[in-house]
Amino acid sequence: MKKFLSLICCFVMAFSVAAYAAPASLPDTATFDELLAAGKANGNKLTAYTTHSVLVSALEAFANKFGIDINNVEGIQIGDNNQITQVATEVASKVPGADIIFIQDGARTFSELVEEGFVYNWYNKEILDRVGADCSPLLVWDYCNKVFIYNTDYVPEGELSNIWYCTDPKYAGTLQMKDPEKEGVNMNFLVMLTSGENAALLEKAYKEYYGTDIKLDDDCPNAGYQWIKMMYKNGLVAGDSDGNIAKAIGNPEQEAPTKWSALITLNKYVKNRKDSKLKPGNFTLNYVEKMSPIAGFIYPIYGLLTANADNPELAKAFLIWLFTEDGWQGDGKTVQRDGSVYVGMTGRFGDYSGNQSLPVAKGDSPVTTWKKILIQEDPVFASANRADVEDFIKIIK
Amino acid sequence: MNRKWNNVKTFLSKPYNILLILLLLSLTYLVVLPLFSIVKDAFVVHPSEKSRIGQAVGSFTLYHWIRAFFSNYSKILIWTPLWHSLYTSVFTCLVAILIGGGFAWLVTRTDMMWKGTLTKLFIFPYIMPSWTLALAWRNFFKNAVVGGAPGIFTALTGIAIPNWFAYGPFPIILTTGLHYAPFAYILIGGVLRNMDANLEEAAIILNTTKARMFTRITIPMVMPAVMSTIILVFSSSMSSFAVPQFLGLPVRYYVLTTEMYSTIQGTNPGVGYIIAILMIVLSIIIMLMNQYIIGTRKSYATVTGKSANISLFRLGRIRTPISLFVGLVVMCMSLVPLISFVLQSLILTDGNYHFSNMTLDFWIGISKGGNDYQDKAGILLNADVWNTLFNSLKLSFACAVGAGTVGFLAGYSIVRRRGSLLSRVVENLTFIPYLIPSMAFAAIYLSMFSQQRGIIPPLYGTFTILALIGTVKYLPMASRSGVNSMLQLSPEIEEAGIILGVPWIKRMTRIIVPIEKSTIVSGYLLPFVSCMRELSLFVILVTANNRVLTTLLFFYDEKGWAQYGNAINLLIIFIVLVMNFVVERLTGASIEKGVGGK
Repeated sequence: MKKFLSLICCFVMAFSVAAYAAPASLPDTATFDELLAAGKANGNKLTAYTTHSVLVSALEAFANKFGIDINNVEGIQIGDNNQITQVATEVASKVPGADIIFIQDGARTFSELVEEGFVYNWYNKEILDRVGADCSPLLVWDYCNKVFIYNTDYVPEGELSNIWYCTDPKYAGTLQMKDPEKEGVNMNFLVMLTSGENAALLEKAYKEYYGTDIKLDDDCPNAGYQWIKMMYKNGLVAGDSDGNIAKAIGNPEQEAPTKWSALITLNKYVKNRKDSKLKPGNFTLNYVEKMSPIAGFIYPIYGLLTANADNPELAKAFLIWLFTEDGWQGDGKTVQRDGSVYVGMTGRFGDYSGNQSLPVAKGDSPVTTWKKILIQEDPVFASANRADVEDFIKIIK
Repeated sequence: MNRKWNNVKTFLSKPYNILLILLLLSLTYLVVLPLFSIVKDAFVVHPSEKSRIGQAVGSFTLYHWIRAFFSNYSKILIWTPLWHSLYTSVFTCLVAILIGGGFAWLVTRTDMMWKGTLTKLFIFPYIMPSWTLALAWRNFFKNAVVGGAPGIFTALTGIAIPNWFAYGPFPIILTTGLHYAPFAYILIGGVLRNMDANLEEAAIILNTTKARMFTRITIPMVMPAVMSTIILVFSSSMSSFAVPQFLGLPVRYYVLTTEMYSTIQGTNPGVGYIIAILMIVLSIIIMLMNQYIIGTRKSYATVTGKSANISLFRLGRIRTPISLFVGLVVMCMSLVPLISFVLQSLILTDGNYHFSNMTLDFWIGISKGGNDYQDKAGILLNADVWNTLFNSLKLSFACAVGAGTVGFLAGYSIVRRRGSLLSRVVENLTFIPYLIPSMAFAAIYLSMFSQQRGIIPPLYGTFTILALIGTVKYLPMASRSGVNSMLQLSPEIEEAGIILGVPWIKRMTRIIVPIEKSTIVSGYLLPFVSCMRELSLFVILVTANNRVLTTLLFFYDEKGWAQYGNAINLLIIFIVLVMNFVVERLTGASIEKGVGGK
């Protein structure tokens, strides 16, 4: 019955996506130059809400580069949950707020903002040419990845080669990740594991790791649920931030050496590893490149227009510019509000533009490589199944 | 008919009656209507629940109630968090009363040394945001078991801290109890300080033992204050959010507020509203119990204009050891946390407290233009921080003026009509905001004022909604203080003015306000201080244009930018201390002098 209902839900969601993604087949014909001119003529302030700090700098650089009064743009960093509440309230009550949002919890964004008509997916031909399929159902501005890292002093290279290690009593209490109940993308990852396709991969990997066929518990509809249950029961440490987790895992002077590992952003791993040029890294860390069946997950940060935007033209121009090389990593001369030069994503590990032709940090792999070894977030599936998985975790944790 | 009209005219000729009616109307709109709103929210489908319930947004449903009370999830969603809340709140009261009451007795009734300094330091935890003690605890005792580098204690001693000590009920009770101990001190100390010395002198003349004097005179005299403390601390502890969020969540120790936050922010906010209702019901039960125990007639006028010279209990040989011990405890709850914030705001790498790992970058560093948090300008050079600071001060001032003024007038009118139905209703109305958990209150205001209501335009995203909710939320504090002080003020003093034909305004400004000056200033100071350190009330109402320091602090903490967070924390504490000092200099009144003055 539950499966049947899920199927119905998926069908309904798919239908909804088709409706909302309708513009996907018809990109806006307006060009960057036209939108920029219209945005300037509009004269209203451009406000962007974002989960990613780079976009605050990017907006200032955009204003300076194109002769827009710097006081007429504002980029504000807000976390996912607050952003959803704020945008929904502002649009519903018709009070001034954001013109454009950059948000990462695809499941909730889709059901609570897109389906409710508070925000909408927009792109023009210029974006379509650069981004391609990632224009819909929600336009991907940036991909971020989370991978398994470990302490190289206590975990030999190659030891963590199958994701079922997280459920092995040998590693009880040694796995950390940011609490999925606090971070939507982590919860979405767990939701994605329960999809039919991924559950089948997990089932196969189980046999590889334990040598027997998987036996599902009564409350576990598939291997995805079983993995989640066993992982929690094996003492998952739900931390408060990826940065802190990286430091805890990689601490070289641990009182009680433990086979610590964690699922965190590649960016935080790079910042904290021993050879990092970025302060304050001094930790004995490495990450797993090969793991059966997946080595982590990749999630997008979406760029979406709000339904009550004061200056939608300028918001659209900004969005188009973000997919250019200048928008992604700066032109080496445009300054921000504080006078420093805008560098965008230059040298930043773990961030990959929706425009896959743009460069990644030196030493990092292109997003196409990562996509092959990581689970990707599907906002439609995640949205339809999020409640089920959340409820499941509430019971088993 | 004429008689009725005359009655109405007589009724309205009394300024306190007009005040009571105005309060009744405004509080009905600002306090009672929101309660209906929250009940409605527990019966409708919210946007995040569409796929879960399979009904249209806004349609009627019983899903939340069934899920909360009659499903497999009941234990997790309701009963366990409820048990945790009750357990921690009861023990928090105990800690607050024992430490605060004990300290009040030592300060007011004994010859303990260094009273002035210790009193000033003892009040620190109350001045600081409730979560700073929790943060300090985390700075000292965090362990690697739940993520992050070990804290200062482990770094210095090498001793690993067990989970039960670092997180969960033990530190929650201790830090919340210590935070509210000054509350107990202020309320109990006020009574002890102003006690009629004649009672004790009579007992001494009658050769009564000190133990008997304590149990038969002192305890009964302070009982109303103790009960007030219990109700205030219990309610505060039940609605405490930040402390269990920081110290409970790492070990999945959920209380009602953290469960409510989790559900309201998550995909089933309907259950969150049910938890809010449950908390309000619990608080009302506590309030009714309080009223039943104390009763309306069991209050004591301690300010009578008569002798107030009280004899001090001589500690004798134990004076120095007790003073040293109290000094040590007070240092641990006041200065040591500050040291931890300073340290945490200076270190580059967590867990390394070597001098070579320290920098002033997080305070005065110049922006490096990059995108990592280490590249940002130090808080003293950061324009965003200054704007936020200004907004915090503006908001605190607005709430203090609003709550302080209304609270004092409410106290005055409630006491003058004490015993009447109107007075009782208004008194209870002014107290209700205290019973509503801050976050639930904010959620209600969010839904109530995000759309046009009659002539009131949508207030969401404006400064007005923050000032309004702050004023209403802190009203109980100010009105309680007003009621307590007016109860102590013998009505004959004002009646003398009435007999001489002194108009009401003049009576207020020339007689009552000067007498009650320190209490009135306390009534302004308490909301100001509370507002400066408020988080959960504003966290979902604040928008990008009107952020306050505490929400900025929470934001930094969520991002894992501990150094900036600790620096902001110190900034908040510094501002509040300065404000306290300035007001003390200007008016001679301050928080530590509490009710009734020194």
